[in-house]
Amino acid sequence: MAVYHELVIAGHYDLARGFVMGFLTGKASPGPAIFSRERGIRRVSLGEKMLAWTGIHGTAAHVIVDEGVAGDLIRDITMAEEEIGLKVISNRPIEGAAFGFHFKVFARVYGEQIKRILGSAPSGLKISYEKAPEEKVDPDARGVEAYTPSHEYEYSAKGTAAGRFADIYPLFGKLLEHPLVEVEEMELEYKD
Amino acid sequence: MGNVQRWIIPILAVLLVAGFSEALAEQQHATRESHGGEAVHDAIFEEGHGEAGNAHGSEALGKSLPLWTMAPFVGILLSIALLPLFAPHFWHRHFGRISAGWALAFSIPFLIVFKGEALHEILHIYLVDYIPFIILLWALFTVSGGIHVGGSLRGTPLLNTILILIGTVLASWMGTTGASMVMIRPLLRANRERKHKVHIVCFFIFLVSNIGGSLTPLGDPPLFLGFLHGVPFFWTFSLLPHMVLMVVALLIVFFIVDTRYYRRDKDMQEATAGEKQPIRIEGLYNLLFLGGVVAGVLMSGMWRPGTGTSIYGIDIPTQNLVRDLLLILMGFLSLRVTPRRIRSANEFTWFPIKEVAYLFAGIFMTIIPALAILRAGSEGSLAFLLDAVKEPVHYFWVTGVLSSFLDNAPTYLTFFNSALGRFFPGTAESVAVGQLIAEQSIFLKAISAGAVFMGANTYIGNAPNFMVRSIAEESGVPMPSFFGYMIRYSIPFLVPLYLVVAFVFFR
Repeated sequence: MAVYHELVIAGHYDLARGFVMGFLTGKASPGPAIFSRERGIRRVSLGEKMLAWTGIHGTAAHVIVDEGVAGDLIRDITMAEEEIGLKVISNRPIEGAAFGFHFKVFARVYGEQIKRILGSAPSGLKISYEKAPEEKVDPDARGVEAYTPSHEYEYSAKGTAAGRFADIYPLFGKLLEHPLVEVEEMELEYKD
Repeated sequence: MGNVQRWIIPILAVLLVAGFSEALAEQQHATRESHGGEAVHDAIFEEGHGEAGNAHGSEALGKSLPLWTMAPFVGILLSIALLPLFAPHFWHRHFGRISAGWALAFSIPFLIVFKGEALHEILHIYLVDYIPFIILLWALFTVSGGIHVGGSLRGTPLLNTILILIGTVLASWMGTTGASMVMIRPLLRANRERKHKVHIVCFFIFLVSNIGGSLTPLGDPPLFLGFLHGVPFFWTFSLLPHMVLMVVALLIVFFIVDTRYYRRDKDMQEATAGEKQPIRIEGLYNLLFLGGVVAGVLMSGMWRPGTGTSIYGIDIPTQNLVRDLLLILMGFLSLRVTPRRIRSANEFTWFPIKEVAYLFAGIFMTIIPALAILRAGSEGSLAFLLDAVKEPVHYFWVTGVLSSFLDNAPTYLTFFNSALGRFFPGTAESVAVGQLIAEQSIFLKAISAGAVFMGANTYIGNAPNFMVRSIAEESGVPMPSFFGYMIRYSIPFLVPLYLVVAFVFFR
């Protein structure tokens, strides 16, 4: 099972991103690089988040890479540190991660899609529900209404998924991509 | 919920009987003073039948009715506003009973205390307002439900803007509900593969489900109620500048917003390549029946044969009877010639009309005291409202804000009557409406624009809003919550434009 590391690279975000992507392109067997800001993964610095909200580029990039890539990436950034103005200020191995999600859909087709996504989660993941998945069918509510809107089909739930990063990240990505699922920021747990 | 409903309505009815008795005593006292002891209901029927008699009767009634006789009216409007949000399935199952409950809570004590006069008022509002109103909505709904727009184009910003513009234009001629029903599915199909599409549905609600209906009495129920009360068919064209300002500004903003989102939805451009299917419109012959509906309504506003039928002292002019028969005929012809397949493709059912019929039966019953009080002008219990709402801009905002949260048709009727009561108290409605248009038309424009435009502010402002939201949700659009819609869409996009409309037209 791959071990993932979160690196915090101080410097201009776009520059750090460009460097990492270039580094991975030049590698023979590149692993994934997950930029926390772009994928809804909670970062440590609140100040940086506020900068991102204002549209001002942050001064650090949080990137998650696998163990095999992390060492080489840190080495290369350190070698070019003075020329490119980037510096790895943190390297933390990730133990696990968790995120909250909720959804309420009104058509079977979407209910089935979400069931498939949740059903495909690896067995090592723990999905706990604050509001258990509930499927309601009200045949009286079939059709279009103007003043008394109600849906024939409803499927809803609110829960939290937790587990090893390698297991949870694919599920997180699939739910994030689904337009009818609200996914909260993923929180990382570190080994140290 | 059921227990509350079971107890509140009878208690309210008992209180209303007691209150009405007191109001009757006051009314008889006032009438004796002003008419030498002549009973007011005798005066009504001796003075003349129909509108003139009704105007005087309503005015006398309105002077004596206390404010709280409007409680069932407020109750039914709040039921329509709140129950879909907090108890949708309960509301869906019991809306007819709840509407009937509020109607009975008012009508039983009203009939017990005011007897013949009450019967006359009730028959008047049902024959003059409710029945033609339902016939028109039924005809428009039936005819527009026979037109199906099939196929799918790619939901580019330009195409989306054009589809919304077409819906906006159609709304004034087939009603906001009909235009929404015809246009929402093609728009959703065109944008099926796009990730960001909530804004498209919200702008559709703004323009097709509301603002687009402001040009003719067919467009939006409030304007048809105005027409039934004597506002000429083409008078509503005077709202064209107001409408154009709103429509052009919103379409420009929509195009900019949609272009931004479209650029983000890059995947969609590849995913839908080759999925284009040409637009195919079926059931176009229903446009002929739509023309028949327009002609029928126009005819009733222009043809004055001077004959009619009288039912319990209520005049029903021949032209109105002919109009209603023509509308029914157009609906039946549409049903007869349109294949069931086309209606199925629109997911056409009679349920929306059943909703309108049941709920407006309650609304029109319970609105009687509100209208009577307003017609009494400064001598009625709502004199404080007339004193507070003085300028056209006040009418625009007050009618509009109330239309945002209550249904816009009764809200329009309420402020339409408040304007008549303010400027022409005691004048027969047919005369007063003409005078209002000739001398104070800016007030009527403000009321009309407020009622129609601001129905877009919330999901509950106008019937098609909820319908469009439901269809979009079932098509996988993550529509915002009640407050989310207001905070993210209607307040930032519509309120600044209302300020411009108020500044330009109603200062």
